Amino acid sequence: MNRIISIRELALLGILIILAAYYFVVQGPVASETLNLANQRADLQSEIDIASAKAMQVNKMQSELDIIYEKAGGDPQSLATYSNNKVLLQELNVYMDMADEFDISFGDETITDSVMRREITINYKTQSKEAAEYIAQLIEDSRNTYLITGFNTSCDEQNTQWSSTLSLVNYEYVTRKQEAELNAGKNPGSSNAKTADDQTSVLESLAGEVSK
Amino acid sequence: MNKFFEKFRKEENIQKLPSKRNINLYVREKDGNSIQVVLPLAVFLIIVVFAVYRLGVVDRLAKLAQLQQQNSALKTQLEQLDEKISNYDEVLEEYRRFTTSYLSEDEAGLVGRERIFDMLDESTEGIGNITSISIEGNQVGVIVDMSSLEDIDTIQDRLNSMVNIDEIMVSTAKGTNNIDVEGYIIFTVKEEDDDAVLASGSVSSLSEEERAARYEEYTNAVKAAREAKDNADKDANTKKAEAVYGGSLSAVNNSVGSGSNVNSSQNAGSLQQSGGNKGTNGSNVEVQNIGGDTVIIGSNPDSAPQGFATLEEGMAALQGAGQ
Repeated sequence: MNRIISIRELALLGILIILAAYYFVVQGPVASETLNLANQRADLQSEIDIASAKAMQVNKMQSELDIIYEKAGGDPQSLATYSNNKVLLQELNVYMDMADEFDISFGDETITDSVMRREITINYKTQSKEAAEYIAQLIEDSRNTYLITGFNTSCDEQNTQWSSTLSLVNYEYVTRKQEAELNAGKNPGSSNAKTADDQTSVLESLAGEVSK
Repeated sequence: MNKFFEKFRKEENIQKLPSKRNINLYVREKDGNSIQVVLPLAVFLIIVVFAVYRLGVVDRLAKLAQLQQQNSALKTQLEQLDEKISNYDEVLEEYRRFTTSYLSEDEAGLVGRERIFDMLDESTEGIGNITSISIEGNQVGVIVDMSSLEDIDTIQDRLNSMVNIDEIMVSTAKGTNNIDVEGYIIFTVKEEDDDAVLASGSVSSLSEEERAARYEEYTNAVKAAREAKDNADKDANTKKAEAVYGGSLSAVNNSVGSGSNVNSSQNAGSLQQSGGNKGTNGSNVEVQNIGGDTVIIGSNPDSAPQGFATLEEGMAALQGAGQ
């Protein structure tokens, strides 16, 4: 078996070695790197698209905010930060000072895009239509953002007492940290409540305190 | 001749002697390739090697470098954009806080209730008494007590003359001998053309000054009502003392202004199923003119503070609330 490799065989072997070397040294790494770079480019392009959209959005939001600040003389109304329950209850309680009787019930909280919305229904009795309307107006004009979705009022037969029902939605801003805490089952709104669902019981206890 | 015979002899000896019927090819190998062959082959090989090197290595590496360069450019562009939107979260938070972007389409289209109240007052002024108001979304239903059916037409005409009012219809109208007519009028208030409410970033259309003025008005009115009530209480107590100690029985009248006094104040706290606050302000009542409205304010010193040392303190806190 010991025979001398011919020149031709050596040449063929050399070519094979060169081809293998080319494949492993150039072709493989280059192809892999090209694919990698192409993927990277696609990712970058996608990120740039998102960033561009965000940049446009920032410009749009900024210009709208500028208008808002200008119109409001530098102090526009903003959403209160979650959880503003205590202030909210105190405020409603002050407004309800005009009512003979009142009954406030709070709906569940839902959080969408960092904004918490809570439906509130207020039943109250006043001695005039004007007082009933005035309470609604005060609530509508409050700095704690409410949106009155429904209002019903009617007087009794003697025309001495007006029974009103006010349906409104209260909005509060939930920070990212608070949202994360809520999602984790913690209650960011102080108090001893453990979960977001317990927020209602916080309101109940606060309502109880205020009533007392 | 000898050769001829030898030939025959050989043929005779064929059977006897070994014979070789073919001959070996004898070719004289050339010592080297000619230049005519080597040169084109070498040129061809060089071209092939160069092409392979160029296409297989240089171009591919160049393409790789180009891709890297493009990616670097994109990275730079992305960095610039990232820098530009570094305040995105803050702006978004501010935007969500200060604008009404959180409102749904229906909610954003709601017309301010104050405007509806004004419309109702304007349309029924001097004609009849509103006994019931029902506002759901932008649809308003109102029951008005009038003296004649013609008044309904007048109300309709007044509503028709107002801008942004649509679909007015009289649902019911009943009466006895054209006396005490009760009309149920339904109409829809269209969304305000002027989107100042939305642009102001607030559900409320009041400016800061207007809001402050309104709170001040309300605070003053309640304060005045309390003072009046206190004075009335003092008077009543004096009269009561006189009645008891002076032996004269006189009716105790704690009325203040045109309001009536409902004593036995009670502020019982009980909660709704979903959490709520319930109370009764059976309190002294004061009629005040606030912002052009006649408002009957029930003031109850025992229950009024409710969370604040004084009402003024509460109002001050409320003015600062939500910021």
